[in-house]
Amino acid sequence: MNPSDAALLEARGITKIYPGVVALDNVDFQVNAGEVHCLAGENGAGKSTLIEIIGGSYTKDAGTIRLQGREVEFANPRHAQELGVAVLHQEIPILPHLSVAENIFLSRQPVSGARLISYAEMNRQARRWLEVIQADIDPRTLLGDLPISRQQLVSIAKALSLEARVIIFDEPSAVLTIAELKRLFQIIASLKAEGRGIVYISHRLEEIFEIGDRVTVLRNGKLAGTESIGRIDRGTLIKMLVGREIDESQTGGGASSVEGLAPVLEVRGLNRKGVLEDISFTLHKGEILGVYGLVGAGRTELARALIGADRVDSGDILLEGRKLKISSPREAIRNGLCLSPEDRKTQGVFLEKSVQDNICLPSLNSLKGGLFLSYGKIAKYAADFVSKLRIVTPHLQQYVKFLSGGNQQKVVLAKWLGMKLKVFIFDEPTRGIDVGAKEEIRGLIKKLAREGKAVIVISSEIPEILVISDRVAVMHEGRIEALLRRQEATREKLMAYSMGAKSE
Amino acid sequence: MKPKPNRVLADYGLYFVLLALVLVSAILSPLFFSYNNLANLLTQASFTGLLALGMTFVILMGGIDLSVGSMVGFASILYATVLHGALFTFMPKEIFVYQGAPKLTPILPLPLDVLFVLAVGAFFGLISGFISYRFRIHSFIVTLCVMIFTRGLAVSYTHGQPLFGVPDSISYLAYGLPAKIPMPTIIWLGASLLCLLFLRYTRFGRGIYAVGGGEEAARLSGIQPAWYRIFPYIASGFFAALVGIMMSGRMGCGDPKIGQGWELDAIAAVVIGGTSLSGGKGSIGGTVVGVLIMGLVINILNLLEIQAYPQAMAKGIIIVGALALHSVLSRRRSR
Repeated sequence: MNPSDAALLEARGITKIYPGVVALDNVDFQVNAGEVHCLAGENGAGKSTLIEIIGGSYTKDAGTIRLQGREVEFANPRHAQELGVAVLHQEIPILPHLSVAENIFLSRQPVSGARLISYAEMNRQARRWLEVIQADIDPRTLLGDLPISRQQLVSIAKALSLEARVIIFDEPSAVLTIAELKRLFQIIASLKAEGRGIVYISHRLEEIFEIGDRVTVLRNGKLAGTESIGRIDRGTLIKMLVGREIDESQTGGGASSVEGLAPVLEVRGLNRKGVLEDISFTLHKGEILGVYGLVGAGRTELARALIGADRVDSGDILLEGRKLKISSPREAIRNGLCLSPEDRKTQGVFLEKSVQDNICLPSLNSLKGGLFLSYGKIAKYAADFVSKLRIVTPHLQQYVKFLSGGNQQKVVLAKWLGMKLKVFIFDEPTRGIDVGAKEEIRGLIKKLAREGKAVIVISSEIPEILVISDRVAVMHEGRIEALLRRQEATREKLMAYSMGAKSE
Repeated sequence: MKPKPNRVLADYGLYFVLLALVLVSAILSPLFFSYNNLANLLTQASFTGLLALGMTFVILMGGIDLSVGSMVGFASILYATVLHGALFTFMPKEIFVYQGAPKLTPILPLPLDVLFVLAVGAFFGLISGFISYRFRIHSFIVTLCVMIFTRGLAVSYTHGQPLFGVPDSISYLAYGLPAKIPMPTIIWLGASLLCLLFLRYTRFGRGIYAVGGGEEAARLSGIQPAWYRIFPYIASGFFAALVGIMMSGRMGCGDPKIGQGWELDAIAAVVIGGTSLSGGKGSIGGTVVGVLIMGLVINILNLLEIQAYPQAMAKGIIIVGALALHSVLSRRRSR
């Protein structure tokens, strides 16, 4: 094959295996010169792993990468950059205290004869690259003083200065406003016109159709297909994203209908600039409300707002008809709301503390004998929950870090169970937990609802949402895009709404 | 973008503080502008200033070096030892209370003895930096251990006694007055200029900022952090040894107990100078001003004839006050 005919970048049979998980299974992916190739897939489908491998951050376990026909082996991100592949990460790692120009030219600053850095020359070159993308940014500004959208422009300028032939955008739209995104699309169009290859990762269907030439879909680490944008429609793409395995959606849920149930928590018009937009819903006694959405849709932010961990700009939260003023998690707990956070290991449990300490911490006030803590009561209280929830631990003093993920999650649950709370919010309760334990945790959550608690379960796993929820709220860009009853919720609908497709 | 007034205040606030302190000093005491007072102030500031230079490197990289005070003491007696050409550990205790003129048998000729001690200082820094980097132990702990160890070594080796007999040639480093400027001040400002050029105009210098500001971002830009992590401690040990040699010259003896608590003065000066304890942000210029501010505060208290311990109280309050003010100003700036 003539090298000029070869794809700019061609990855073949890429496989990446983590202990117990095949993150990527024999995936092919190629980018041609002058093309925008979109990469799509559910959370955890393997998109990030693929681009980290193409960008040199991760090593692959099998497969080959060719640049213009020549096989390469990336040692590290810098090596990939030198060979012309640049990744623009969603959360751009920046050096906020250094200037824009220095961030662009770090460790490659132009030097004079005496090997001293020439700031004038560096700023001049930086200005030139910034002008190429028509970014009106003073290269002397500290990067940390710029908003994220402009930081992104700086990293595009950096990619250009590295003479990158392949530029990978990792979900840039997640952090940009609509106007900024328009600008970005113009820039991408001109990069494409120059013959560079662009990889564009996005969750949003409309973006894929607007900017893409081809789209590759990953599903569960496998290639679901590569198609020309011109040849497919939204429906086909959604089908590719979702696959055909809908058999997982067995019936579940506690109450099949919420009619007639007493409302416990009412949320009206919750707003937080750039994060949450006009969130309203009602949560009933004994109901499990599933919240689905893609990463960055605002699910976790909603949970944090409800328990007062983040401030909101406007909106009301009513508990049993009473308006709440919650400004801290402490207040939320007093009022009967609790959160089991997404990041269990850092926010849900104290890894370096014992099972007993973790379970009893929020309830210590009720575990006194007179003035002082009663360790007898504490041990009994903890032992109670350990047996009730069947937490597998050799003894109460075991450090939580030695427990399995499932048992850690049970510890989080036990922590709140003894406190007579009314509303339980679970953010990704079964993430990183093995299958058997997942079932157990879901069972415990359902039991809570049967006992009359109001429960919110946030999850990025559609099967889980379908199994556990009485109703499903689908979030997209900080809004609740749809509020579906259990019977109406299907895999396709959740997928479509979460990508911003209005009801079709 | 036009600079806003707050921004000016935050960027140059330090210089205003310095100016204000000079004015206050001049008003409080007519002696302030006398040659003797200024020379004295600058000489005192120079020793803290040299330690603060090395400390700036370390703090920029995101670490801390508590060992410099002890290193001053150790370098001071090490230098005297090299001059005497003997290991004193094995000698009777009486020899240390030495009154008459000593008979020196120097191990190394003049420039080499100084270089040897500087190299030992740098080597101790290398050890601290390497341990902290390789074993991922916070530099606070590593250098605390080095601080205890070095002081213990210095004191036990000399039985806590000073070593006399440091020649005049080296006293010049401490007392010399070329062009009526104190020699320590010339060394300090000269070294400051070199450090400033190094940090601002070399890739390695900028790399220290980068690694201190965000190691991952630096790595993605092609910087291998190891040397950037270790080098600052070498610089810090080097400057501490230099101060130790100069102190030997100043006192005419090696004193194992000198330098206690000096690391804290150096850290305070660096932080007053606007260098962030979390790394990645700061400058040598700021550190020089920070040292002068510390020196002026002490000078004012001296001129007002305030005793040592009330002086320490005042120093503590003034440092915290200055930092609080700085924090308020820079927070306003980032809005």
